[in-house]
Amino acid sequence: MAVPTYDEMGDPGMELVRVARERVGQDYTSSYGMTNPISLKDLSALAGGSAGGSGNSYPAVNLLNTQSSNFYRNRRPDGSDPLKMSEFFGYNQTLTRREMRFAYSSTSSSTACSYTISATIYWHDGSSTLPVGGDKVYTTYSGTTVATGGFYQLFDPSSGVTNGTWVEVIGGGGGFAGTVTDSGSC
Amino acid sequence: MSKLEEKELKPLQENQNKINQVITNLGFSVLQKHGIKKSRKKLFSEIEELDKEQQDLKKELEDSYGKISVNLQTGEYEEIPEQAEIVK
Repeated sequence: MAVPTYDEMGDPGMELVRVARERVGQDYTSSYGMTNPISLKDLSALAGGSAGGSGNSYPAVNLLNTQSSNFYRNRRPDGSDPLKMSEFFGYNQTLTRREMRFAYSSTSSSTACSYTISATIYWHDGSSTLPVGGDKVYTTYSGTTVATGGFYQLFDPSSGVTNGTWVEVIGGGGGFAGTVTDSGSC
Repeated sequence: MSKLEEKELKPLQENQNKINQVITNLGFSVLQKHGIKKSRKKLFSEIEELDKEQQDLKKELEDSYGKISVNLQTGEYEEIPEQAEIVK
Protein backbone atom coordinates (compact mmCIF):
# COMPACT_ATOMS: atom_id res chain seq x y z
CA MET A 1 0.00 0.00 0.00
CA ALA A 2 1.16 3.50 -0.82
CA VAL A 3 1.19 6.45 1.56
CA PRO A 4 -2.49 7.25 2.21
CA THR A 5 -3.89 10.26 0.37
CA TYR A 6 -4.92 13.40 2.26
CA ASP A 7 -8.51 12.12 2.36
CA GLU A 8 -7.53 8.63 3.48
CA MET A 9 -5.11 9.72 6.19
CA GLY A 10 -6.45 9.34 9.70
CA ASP A 11 -4.79 9.47 13.12
CA PRO A 12 -1.94 9.44 13.93
CA GLY A 13 -1.28 11.27 10.67
CA MET A 14 1.69 10.84 8.41
CA GLU A 15 4.76 9.38 10.08
CA LEU A 16 8.29 10.08 8.87
CA VAL A 17 9.50 6.52 9.45
CA ARG A 18 6.58 5.14 7.45
CA VAL A 19 7.25 7.50 4.56
CA ALA A 20 10.88 6.30 4.73
CA ARG A 21 9.69 2.67 4.52
CA GLU A 22 7.65 3.52 1.46
CA ARG A 23 10.63 5.33 -0.07
CA VAL A 24 12.88 2.26 0.21
CA GLY A 25 10.20 0.22 -1.56
CA GLN A 26 8.72 -1.38 1.53
CA ASP A 27 5.14 -0.85 2.46
CA TYR A 28 4.02 2.35 4.27
CA THR A 29 2.28 0.14 6.81
CA SER A 30 5.08 -2.43 7.14
CA SER A 31 7.40 -2.71 10.14
CA TYR A 32 10.53 -2.78 7.99
CA GLY A 33 13.56 -1.67 10.05
CA MET A 34 14.97 1.70 9.03
CA THR A 35 18.35 3.07 10.12
CA ASN A 36 18.31 6.45 11.85
CA PRO A 37 18.62 9.29 11.17
CA ILE A 38 15.92 9.80 8.57
CA SER A 39 16.35 13.00 6.63
CA LEU A 40 13.39 14.64 4.92
CA LYS A 41 15.95 16.11 2.53
CA ASP A 42 16.95 12.62 1.38
CA LEU A 43 13.36 11.38 1.27
CA SER A 44 12.51 14.34 -0.98
CA ALA A 45 15.60 14.24 -3.21
CA LEU A 46 14.41 13.22 -6.68
CA ALA A 47 17.64 11.32 -7.32
CA GLY A 48 17.52 9.66 -3.90
CA GLY A 49 20.73 8.91 -1.96
CA SER A 50 21.85 9.81 1.54
CA ALA A 51 23.60 13.16 1.06
CA GLY A 52 21.38 14.68 3.74
CA GLY A 53 22.90 12.37 6.35
CA SER A 54 20.34 9.56 6.37
CA GLY A 55 21.14 6.13 7.75
CA ASN A 56 19.67 4.58 4.61
CA SER A 57 20.36 5.42 1.00
CA TYR A 58 17.07 6.01 -0.79
CA PRO A 59 16.24 5.10 -4.37
CA ALA A 60 15.14 7.78 -6.81
CA VAL A 61 11.65 9.21 -6.33
CA ASN A 62 9.14 7.39 -8.54
CA LEU A 63 8.17 10.05 -11.04
CA LEU A 64 5.07 8.17 -12.17
CA ASN A 65 3.35 9.67 -9.12
CA THR A 66 1.52 12.89 -10.02
CA GLN A 67 3.31 16.10 -9.10
CA SER A 68 1.08 19.10 -8.55
CA SER A 69 1.29 22.47 -6.83
CA ASN A 70 -2.18 21.66 -5.57
CA PHE A 71 -1.53 19.72 -2.37
CA TYR A 72 -4.46 17.32 -2.59
CA ARG A 73 -3.72 16.42 -6.22
CA ASN A 74 -0.01 16.02 -5.50
CA ARG A 75 1.42 12.54 -4.83
CA ARG A 76 5.16 13.13 -4.73
CA PRO A 77 7.83 15.62 -3.65
CA ASP A 78 8.95 18.19 -6.20
CA GLY A 79 12.55 18.01 -4.99
CA SER A 80 12.80 21.70 -4.11
CA ASP A 81 12.59 23.84 -0.99
CA PRO A 82 10.56 24.24 1.10
CA LEU A 83 10.45 20.51 1.80
CA LYS A 84 7.08 19.38 3.08
CA MET A 85 5.84 16.14 4.59
CA SER A 86 2.50 16.86 2.92
CA GLU A 87 4.14 16.28 -0.46
CA PHE A 88 4.03 12.55 0.29
CA PHE A 89 0.26 12.16 0.54
CA GLY A 90 -0.59 9.30 -1.85
CA TYR A 91 3.05 8.56 -2.75
CA ASN A 92 3.78 5.06 -4.05
CA GLN A 93 7.40 3.99 -4.52
CA THR A 94 6.52 0.91 -6.57
CA LEU A 95 3.90 2.53 -8.78
CA THR A 96 3.98 1.23 -12.36
CA ARG A 97 0.99 3.13 -13.75
CA ARG A 98 0.02 6.76 -14.22
CA GLU A 99 -3.07 8.40 -12.78
CA MET A 100 -5.85 9.08 -15.28
CA ARG A 101 -8.56 11.65 -14.55
CA PHE A 102 -11.59 11.50 -16.80
CA ALA A 103 -15.28 11.80 -17.54
CA TYR A 104 -16.93 8.73 -19.04
CA SER A 105 -19.64 8.07 -21.57
CA SER A 106 -20.67 4.72 -23.00
CA THR A 107 -22.25 6.35 -26.04
CA SER A 108 -20.09 9.06 -27.64
CA SER A 109 -17.03 11.26 -27.35
CA SER A 110 -19.19 14.39 -27.45
CA THR A 111 -21.20 13.19 -24.46
CA ALA A 112 -18.00 12.37 -22.58
CA CYS A 113 -16.76 15.86 -23.42
CA SER A 114 -19.94 17.40 -21.98
CA TYR A 115 -19.28 15.90 -18.54
CA THR A 116 -17.25 17.35 -15.71
CA ILE A 117 -14.27 15.53 -14.22
CA SER A 118 -15.30 12.46 -12.24
CA ALA A 119 -14.16 11.84 -8.67
CA THR A 120 -13.14 8.34 -9.76
CA ILE A 121 -9.48 7.79 -10.61
CA TYR A 122 -8.25 5.24 -13.16
CA TRP A 123 -4.68 4.30 -14.04
CA HIS A 124 -2.92 3.66 -17.35
CA ASP A 125 0.30 1.90 -18.29
CA GLY A 126 1.47 4.41 -20.93
CA SER A 127 4.68 6.37 -20.90
CA SER A 128 3.03 9.80 -21.28
CA THR A 129 1.03 11.78 -18.75
CA LEU A 130 -2.17 11.01 -20.66
CA PRO A 131 -3.03 7.65 -22.25
CA VAL A 132 -2.57 7.24 -26.00
CA GLY A 133 -3.38 4.53 -28.53
CA GLY A 134 -2.21 1.10 -27.37
CA ASP A 135 -2.04 2.01 -23.68
CA LYS A 136 -4.15 -0.01 -21.29
CA VAL A 137 -6.41 1.58 -18.71
CA TYR A 138 -7.00 -0.06 -15.31
CA THR A 139 -9.42 0.76 -12.52
CA THR A 140 -6.71 0.52 -9.85
CA TYR A 141 -2.98 1.22 -9.68
CA SER A 142 -2.04 -2.43 -9.21
CA GLY A 143 -5.02 -4.68 -9.99
CA THR A 144 -5.96 -6.37 -13.26
CA THR A 145 -9.46 -4.97 -13.69
CA VAL A 146 -9.50 -2.85 -16.82
CA ALA A 147 -11.63 0.17 -17.67
CA THR A 148 -14.95 -0.54 -19.28
CA GLY A 149 -15.36 0.14 -23.00
CA GLY A 150 -16.46 3.63 -23.99
CA PHE A 151 -15.33 7.21 -24.38
CA TYR A 152 -13.22 9.08 -21.86
CA GLN A 153 -12.66 12.83 -21.82
CA LEU A 154 -9.15 13.37 -20.40
CA PHE A 155 -8.17 15.81 -17.66
CA ASP A 156 -4.70 16.81 -16.51
CA PRO A 157 -4.18 14.88 -13.25
CA SER A 158 -2.03 17.62 -11.75
CA SER A 159 -4.58 20.41 -12.26
CA GLY A 160 -7.91 18.69 -12.85
CA VAL A 161 -8.36 20.87 -15.95
CA THR A 162 -9.61 19.28 -19.15
CA ASN A 163 -7.03 18.47 -21.78
CA GLY A 164 -9.65 19.05 -24.47
CA THR A 165 -9.23 15.53 -25.80
CA TRP A 166 -10.92 12.16 -25.50
CA VAL A 167 -9.88 8.54 -25.96
CA GLU A 168 -11.93 5.48 -26.78
CA VAL A 169 -11.28 2.33 -24.78
CA ILE A 170 -12.24 -1.05 -26.18
CA GLY A 171 -14.49 -3.22 -24.03
CA GLY A 172 -15.27 -6.92 -24.01
CA GLY A 173 -13.49 -9.70 -22.22
CA GLY A 174 -10.58 -10.35 -24.55
CA GLY A 175 -6.93 -9.55 -24.09
CA PHE A 176 -7.36 -6.13 -25.71
CA ALA A 177 -10.08 -5.07 -23.30
CA GLY A 178 -9.19 -1.77 -21.64
CA THR A 179 -6.89 -0.70 -24.47
CA VAL A 180 -7.05 2.78 -26.01
CA THR A 181 -8.00 2.38 -29.66
CA ASP A 182 -8.94 5.88 -30.78
CA SER A 183 -8.62 9.51 -29.72
CA GLY A 184 -9.69 12.98 -30.76
CA SER A 185 -10.39 16.56 -29.70
CA CYS A 186 -13.48 17.60 -27.77
CA MET B 1 25.74 80.67 11.13
CA SER B 2 26.32 80.90 7.38
CA LYS B 3 23.34 80.64 5.13
CA LEU B 4 22.85 79.85 1.47
CA GLU B 5 21.29 82.40 -0.69
CA GLU B 6 17.68 81.90 -1.60
CA LYS B 7 18.53 81.31 -5.28
CA GLU B 8 20.93 78.53 -4.22
CA LEU B 9 18.68 76.96 -1.65
CA LYS B 10 15.47 76.86 -3.67
CA PRO B 11 16.68 74.49 -6.40
CA LEU B 12 18.06 72.16 -3.73
CA GLN B 13 14.79 72.17 -1.84
CA GLU B 14 12.77 71.64 -5.00
CA ASN B 15 14.97 68.78 -6.07
CA GLN B 16 14.80 67.19 -2.61
CA ASN B 17 11.02 67.47 -2.71
CA LYS B 18 11.03 65.68 -6.06
CA ILE B 19 13.26 62.93 -4.61
CA ASN B 20 10.94 62.59 -1.63
CA GLN B 21 7.95 62.39 -3.95
CA VAL B 22 9.60 59.67 -6.04
CA ILE B 23 10.46 57.72 -2.87
CA THR B 24 6.86 58.06 -1.73
CA ASN B 25 5.62 56.87 -5.14
CA LEU B 26 8.07 53.98 -5.00
CA GLY B 27 6.71 53.07 -1.59
CA PHE B 28 3.16 53.16 -2.93
CA SER B 29 4.09 50.99 -5.92
CA VAL B 30 5.80 48.44 -3.66
CA LEU B 31 2.73 48.37 -1.44
CA GLN B 32 0.47 48.09 -4.48
CA LYS B 33 2.56 45.23 -5.92
CA HIS B 34 2.51 43.52 -2.54
CA GLY B 35 -1.25 44.01 -2.45
CA ILE B 36 -1.68 42.50 -5.93
CA LYS B 37 0.62 39.62 -4.99
CA LYS B 38 -1.36 39.06 -1.81
CA SER B 39 -4.69 39.21 -3.58
CA ARG B 40 -3.46 36.82 -6.32
CA LYS B 41 -2.24 34.44 -3.63
CA LYS B 42 -5.61 34.70 -1.91
CA LEU B 43 -7.45 34.01 -5.18
CA PHE B 44 -5.26 31.00 -5.95
CA SER B 45 -5.88 29.64 -2.49
CA GLU B 46 -9.61 30.31 -2.94
CA ILE B 47 -9.62 28.37 -6.23
CA GLU B 48 -7.77 25.51 -4.55
CA GLU B 49 -10.30 25.41 -1.72
CA LEU B 50 -13.27 25.54 -4.10
CA ASP B 51 -11.72 22.85 -6.29
CA LYS B 52 -11.23 20.60 -3.26
CA GLU B 53 -14.79 21.32 -2.15
CA GLN B 54 -16.02 20.42 -5.65
CA GLN B 55 -14.11 17.16 -5.50
CA ASP B 56 -15.55 16.39 -2.05
CA LEU B 57 -19.08 17.11 -3.33
CA LYS B 58 -18.52 14.69 -6.22
CA LYS B 59 -17.28 12.05 -3.80
CA GLU B 60 -20.45 12.55 -1.75
CA LEU B 61 -22.47 12.08 -4.96
CA GLU B 62 -20.61 8.85 -5.62
CA ASP B 63 -21.65 7.63 -2.17
CA SER B 64 -25.26 8.03 -3.28
CA TYR B 65 -25.10 7.18 -6.98
CA GLY B 66 -21.94 5.09 -7.33
CA LYS B 67 -19.20 6.02 -9.79
CA ILE B 68 -20.63 8.56 -12.23
CA SER B 69 -19.82 11.27 -14.77
CA VAL B 70 -22.02 14.36 -14.59
CA ASN B 71 -23.04 17.11 -17.03
CA LEU B 72 -23.07 20.22 -14.84
CA GLN B 73 -25.29 22.17 -17.28
CA THR B 74 -28.12 19.66 -17.46
CA GLY B 75 -27.59 17.52 -14.35
CA GLU B 76 -27.54 14.41 -16.51
CA TYR B 77 -25.21 11.72 -15.31
CA GLU B 78 -23.95 8.35 -16.47
CA GLU B 79 -22.71 5.44 -14.43
CA ILE B 80 -19.16 4.23 -14.92
CA PRO B 81 -19.51 0.46 -14.96
CA GLU B 82 -16.75 -1.77 -13.65
CA GLN B 83 -15.22 -4.15 -16.14
CA ALA B 84 -14.89 -7.81 -15.17
CA GLU B 85 -11.55 -8.91 -13.77
CA ILE B 86 -9.10 -10.19 -16.36
CA VAL B 87 -7.72 -13.56 -15.34
CA LYS B 88 -4.09 -13.88 -16.37
